[in-house]
Parts: sequence; C-alpha cells; structure tokens
Amino acid sequence: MKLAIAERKEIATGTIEVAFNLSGKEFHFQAGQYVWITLQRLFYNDEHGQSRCFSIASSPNDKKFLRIAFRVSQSGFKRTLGEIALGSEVEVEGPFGDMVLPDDHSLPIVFVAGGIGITPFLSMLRFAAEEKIPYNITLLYANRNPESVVYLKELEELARQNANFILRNHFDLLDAPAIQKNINEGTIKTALWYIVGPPAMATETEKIIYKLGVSRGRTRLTEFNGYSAPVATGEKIETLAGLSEAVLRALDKNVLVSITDLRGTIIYANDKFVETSKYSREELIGRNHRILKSGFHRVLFYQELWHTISTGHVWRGEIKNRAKDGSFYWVDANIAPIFGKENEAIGYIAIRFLITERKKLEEKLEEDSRELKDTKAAILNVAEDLEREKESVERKVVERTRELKEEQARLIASINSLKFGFIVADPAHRILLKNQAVAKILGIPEESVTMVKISGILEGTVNLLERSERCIAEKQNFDLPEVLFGSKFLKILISPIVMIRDHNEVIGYVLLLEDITEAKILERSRDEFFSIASHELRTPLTAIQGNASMLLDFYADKIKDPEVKQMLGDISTAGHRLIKIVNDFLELSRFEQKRMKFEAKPFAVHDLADEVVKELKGLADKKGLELRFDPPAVSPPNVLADRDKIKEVLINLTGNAINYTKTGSIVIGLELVGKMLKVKIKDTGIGISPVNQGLLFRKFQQAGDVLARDVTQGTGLGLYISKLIIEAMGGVITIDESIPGKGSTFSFSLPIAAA
Amino acid sequence: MITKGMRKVFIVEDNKDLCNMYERLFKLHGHEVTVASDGLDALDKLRQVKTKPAVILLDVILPKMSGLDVLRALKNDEELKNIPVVILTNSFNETNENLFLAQGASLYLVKIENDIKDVIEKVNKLLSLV
Repeated sequence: MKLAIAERKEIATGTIEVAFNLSGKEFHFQAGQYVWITLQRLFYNDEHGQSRCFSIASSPNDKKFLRIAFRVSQSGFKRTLGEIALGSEVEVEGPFGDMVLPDDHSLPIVFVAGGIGITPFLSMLRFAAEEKIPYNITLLYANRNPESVVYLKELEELARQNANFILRNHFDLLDAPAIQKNINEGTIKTALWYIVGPPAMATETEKIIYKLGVSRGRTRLTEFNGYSAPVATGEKIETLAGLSEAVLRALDKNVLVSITDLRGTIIYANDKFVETSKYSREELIGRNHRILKSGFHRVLFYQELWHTISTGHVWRGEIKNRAKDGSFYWVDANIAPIFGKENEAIGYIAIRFLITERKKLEEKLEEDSRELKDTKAAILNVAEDLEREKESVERKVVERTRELKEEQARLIASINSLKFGFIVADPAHRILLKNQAVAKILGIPEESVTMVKISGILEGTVNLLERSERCIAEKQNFDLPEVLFGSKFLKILISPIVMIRDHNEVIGYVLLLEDITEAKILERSRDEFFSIASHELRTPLTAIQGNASMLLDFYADKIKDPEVKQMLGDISTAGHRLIKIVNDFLELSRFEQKRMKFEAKPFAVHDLADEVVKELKGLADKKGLELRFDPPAVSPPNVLADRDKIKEVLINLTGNAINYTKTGSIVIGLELVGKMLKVKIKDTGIGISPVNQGLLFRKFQQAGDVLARDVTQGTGLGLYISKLIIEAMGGVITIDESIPGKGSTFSFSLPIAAA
Repeated sequence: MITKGMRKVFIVEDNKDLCNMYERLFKLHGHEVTVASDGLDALDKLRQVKTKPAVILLDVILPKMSGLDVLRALKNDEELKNIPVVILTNSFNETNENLFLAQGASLYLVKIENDIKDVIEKVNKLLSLV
C-alpha cells in the first residue's frame, strides 16, 4: 500500500514523528503492531529500494493518520524519511507483530519501555483511553536522559486522564531494586509484562523480572530498536536486505527466499515464500522458521542442517514444509550463512526452488516402487507357499503311493494265496489284476497269462472271450461248473463288475478258475465207495435171503422138522427186513448226498395205482384184507413226476396201510385239487393217535409201539424217504386224518403235467 | 446129462456165496451151470468151450476186469456176441443200467431187488425167447 507523508515533527531530542495520510485507505491495525516502510531507489550504492520496520505510535482509531516515530541517525533511510518532500509516497506493508493488548483487561499490565520502544505502548495507551477499556497499566519508562524521553507530554496527559494508567520514570540503569521500587510487589507477580527496548535492555529486564518471580508465560518481549527490528541485529540486516533485494525480486516468480537471523527467526520472506507458505508476511516475519516443519524429516535431519550452516557451510537438500492450511510443499533448498562486514555470520539466507510436483511424482514413484516391492514380496510369498504346498502335496503323494503300493502288495499277497485263479480284466480283455494260481492251474508260464491265451487253451470247451463279453453286456454271471482241461476238471465263473454308483456301468469282469479235479475224484471215489459199500452190504444179504428163500421154496420136502422150517422162515423174514433197512439207508444216503436223480415225465397215476394194487394184492390177501383202487368218474390228467420214485412212495404207503390194518380194506383214490392231483390211501387200520401223528414223517420214527412180528416191514425210514421224494417232485405228503381204532387216510399230491 | 429144457448157463460172479447160490438155483431148475469168478477167466472159458452157453449172467463189480469191459469184449467177439447177457448186480448206479443196456446187455437185474424166484423167472423167460 502506498501512503503519502502528510506531516513531520520533532517530538523529542533526535526523535521525529512522521504522519502518513490514511484517508481513503483501508488500513487496519491493532495497537502495538508495526509496519514495514519501503523507500524506493534509496539505497546508497544503487537504485534499489530499502525497507525498515517501525512501530506504530498512533491509535488504531485514528483513521486519518498513521504515525511513526524514529530516532534520527546517519542511516540514509532515516535521513531520507526525515527530508523527503511532504506528499512523497512510500510503500507501507503490514501491520505485523503480536504484541497486542490482551482481551482480558482484568490482568494488570506493566509496560517497560526503553527509548523509542515507547511507541507501541503509546498506541496501546491511546487506544485503551479512547475505547475506555479499563486496563490497569503501569508504564515504567526507563531512560538515561530525560530529554530524550519520547512522547513524555502525551504520556503524562494520558496518565492524568486515566486513573488506570500509572506512569513511572526511571532515569538510570534499570535493575531489580528499581523495578521493585516502581512496581508494587503484587503487580510484579500477577501482571503481564511487555518489554520493548534495545536488545540489551530488553533481555536484561526480562532476566531481572524472572528473578523477581515473574513466570515466563507472562512476558511479551520485543527487542525493538525503535526503527528497525524486531531483530537483534538491526543495522547489519538492513545492509543485507538491501543487498539481495534486487536479486531476490528477480527470483520472486519461482524461488522462495527467506532470510533468518542466527536463531532462525524469519526477518525476510519474499512473495513466493509468502504465497507458497500461505501465511501472511506478518505471520512469517518474527516467527521462527520451524513453523514450517512438516514432521516429515527426522530430528537428525534438522540438526545436521543447522550444524552445517552454523559452522559456516552451505546446506543443500530437499525439505518438505507445511503450509498454513496444513498442506505440504517440497523445496530444493540452498541455505547459506550471510557474513557481515566483519566476516562473522549474521544470518542465513535460504533460496528454495519449489519441487512439489516433482516430489509428488517421486513420492508416487516411491510408493509405486514400494507397492511393487510389496507385490513382489507377496508374489514371492505366494510362490513360497505354493512351493511348500507343492512339497507337502508331493510328500503326501509319495506317502499315499507307498501306502497304495503296500495295499496293493497285501492284496496281491492275499489273492496269490488263494487256491483258485483270480483275474480282473477290463471290457477289452486287458488283465488288470491276476494271481499266480491262474498260471499254475492252467500249467502255463506266469508271463504268458493273457485272456487271449487262456481263451485259446480252453478253446474246445468254451469261447471264453465271447462268454466274457456276453457276461458284461447282460450284466450276468456265467458259471461253468465242470470243464475238462487235459487231465483236470476246472470250474469257471465269470462275473461282471458293476459300478452301482455309476449308473450300473460295467467296468470289467472277474474270472475265477477253480481246479476241482481232486474234488471230482473225491466225488467219484465217494460214488465208487458208495457203490462198493452198497454192493458189499447187499451181497451177503442177497446170499442170506436167497438161500433162505431157496430152502423154503425148493428144499421144502427135505425139511421135515416144522421148527426148522419156522426158523428158516424167520431167517427169511429177517433177511427181507434187513434188505429193506439197508435199501432205505442207502437210498436216504443217496438222497441226502443229492446223488439221486429224478426224471420228471408225464404219466398216468391211474395205471400206476393198478400196478401197485396188483403187486401188493398177494400181501393183502394173506391178511384177508381187501385192496382196491377206486378210479374217479372223470379220468384225471397226467402228472409230471418220476414214475419209479412215485411208485416206491405208493408201494410204501399202501404197504404200511396193509401192515397196520387187521381187518377191513385199503382203498386207493384220486382227487383233483387245483393244479395238483391228490392220491389217497384209506385204510381201516389201527389208526395213529394225534400225538404220534406229528412224528410220522420224520427219520426213524415209527408210530405204534410194538412191531408185530409177521406184519410190519417198516423201518421207520419209509415215510421220511417218501416225503423227500414227493417234496422233490413239488408235491405234499400228509396224513389227512387218522382215528385210533378206525383207520387212517394218507395222501400225497403231484403237479399236473402241462397239457 | 442134458435133458429137454436144459440150457447152458454161464455165471460170472466173484462172491463165492452168491455164486454158489445162483449155481444151485439154476441147477435146481434143470440147467447146466458153468462159473467164472473174474472177467478174464470168464472170457477164456467162453472162448474155449465148443458149445456156447445159452445165457451169461454177469456181475458188474469184478476183479481184474470190470463187468462193462467184459460185456464189451463179449459183444466184440464174433462167436460170443449173440449170447444174451443178463447183468446181475447189487451196485446202485442208475446210469449203469442204461450204460449196460446200451452196451448190449439184454437184462439188468439188481440182485437185492429181485427175489431168487424173480431171477429164475426172468432168465427162463429170456431163454424161452432165444
């Protein structure tokens, strides 16, 4: 802002007050603040402008004038300021400074001013008086020379008008006793202390009041030289600032420039710096550079920086700074010490290039790189995991394979231990599994065992391959109970392997080979044994019976003695009985060994009945019994059975009837019941009690206690064998009814032969 | 002394008791009986004798040569094949009956099932047919 000089006057010895025209300008400041005034083309060596800061003496309420006071000196700036024509314009920047009155006016305030340092206090006092804010202010004015006390008249006037203001003068060295004398003890401890003055005085005063018990938070110190500051170095910086200004302005567009004192307090900030940091200039000036710390760099970083520059070297590096709004910016900085006329460091200059964009890119690259690294690491991890997984799986596979091999070995061992040959083959007749017995049974070498080979060997008897295929197709077992192979008898079974879970798919077949030669031989020998045994039993029986009969039949005339005859008769009878018993036993044995073969053929029972009646008539006649066959009115159909065996049964039942009947008749009848033909044998014999009826068709049971000597020929097996025969034919044999003393009716049924 | 109705009967039976019994039986009925106790002996005698018997009674279970083999041999012999052979056996093999009949036997009698009277009756019947 450009302001024009309106007035100028001397207010104390060697002190001038300049008033700048404020009318029409928007300029707001607080009491206690200061401004920077720039005079263009004033520097003594060149044409560049110079800036100085001055505290404001006028009240903020004074809208007309901005008043500053300064001590006249040899400084070109001040001479010019004191001499230039009224109406000349100067550049004014500001306001700056945070030495302002507190909001809380209950706190007592002590102003300690030295020399020109009074000007900010004057502004405050004027303001407080005008606004009638009841601040309790004690002003201790320290000066060596009463004549050079600035604004004395105004101060006295203000003190007179305001009871709250207390004015104290001390025209000597300001020491602790001096302070204690001028400020009461209570105020010392509780007041806010504002100290403005030349550096030495200000710092000294501060030390004194700390010693007097004032707490550190209660001081506001401005090392104020009256017309320059608030810095300690005053004139030297003035030189410095002027020197660089031209250069700096040229760089203003791209370069951030700041100048700090030896402690890092900012004393100059160029436009770019201000713009980038987003602080206002007054917020920067007087502040320590550390307000820009971003927190990005470590303490060591800053320590190293300071060490470099404080030892007289230039530091070069990249710094991340924090702007006022919290955002960050990166600078490429050159920080160098500034040397004064006596070649000692008087401050530092930092020239910084904004590299935020580049830095952002770098950061992104860094991030990307890290991400890439992380991704790579993650991939590696995954790869490692996979590797481990793979190894684990491999180990499991090895383990499982070993287990399977063991299982397989065990399986093979057990199937090898089988006596019979065992083959598992797929539908293409490829052998998947076989045991050693196959080769052994077939008498071929182990390695030549293939389905083709086996089929070839058995060619004459059975087409094994074709059979297997049919077996698979029909999902049926194929059984060859007896196959002659050379000198061996084999039993062959082919069974399809059906996967029930897979829709009954046939995945192959199992072939079983059994060498039944021995078994067959055994069977044969059993047959032979049987034959021989029966033969051996029968031979002597035949001899006994035959001879007895012959004696009775053909040598009767030679036997005179009736007792001898009777004995022969007994032998004959016994012989018959024995024969029957043996026969029964043999038959039963055969039956039980399933050796008996039945041939079921259709025949007429009618004819059979006639035959039996004819054969047994003699026996019946001997006992005086009637034996007859009563045929039904309608001739019944043929039955399907083994005629010889059925004849045996009929003879057995009829014979029994005859044996167990004393008087009366035995009648054979026929009855059609459904699909069966019933043959009935009714007698008028002694009957069988209900209790004994249950025992009838069992082995070796004979209902009836006593075996009459001449009658009974039953062995007890007859009925049992008859039952076996009838049931084998598919019929049923029963005792229909039996009443002791009245008679019995036995019957058996046979299936009708299909027409 | 050969009388009318007397025929030559040849019995092949290894059991002495039975052999005696049958011999006695046929002799009682007026026949001339020659016996052999095994197949080989039988064939020898049959071949040697000038007048062949009218019937041969042949047991099945025989030493040295089985009854079946004897039968086969008889039927293969030009001079003997026409002599009717009656199988007289106690062995209980059903297939045997068919086998022997197929082999040329005229009759298959199971001894124990046939009373001596039956035996003589059936053989006489056969002889009368011859």
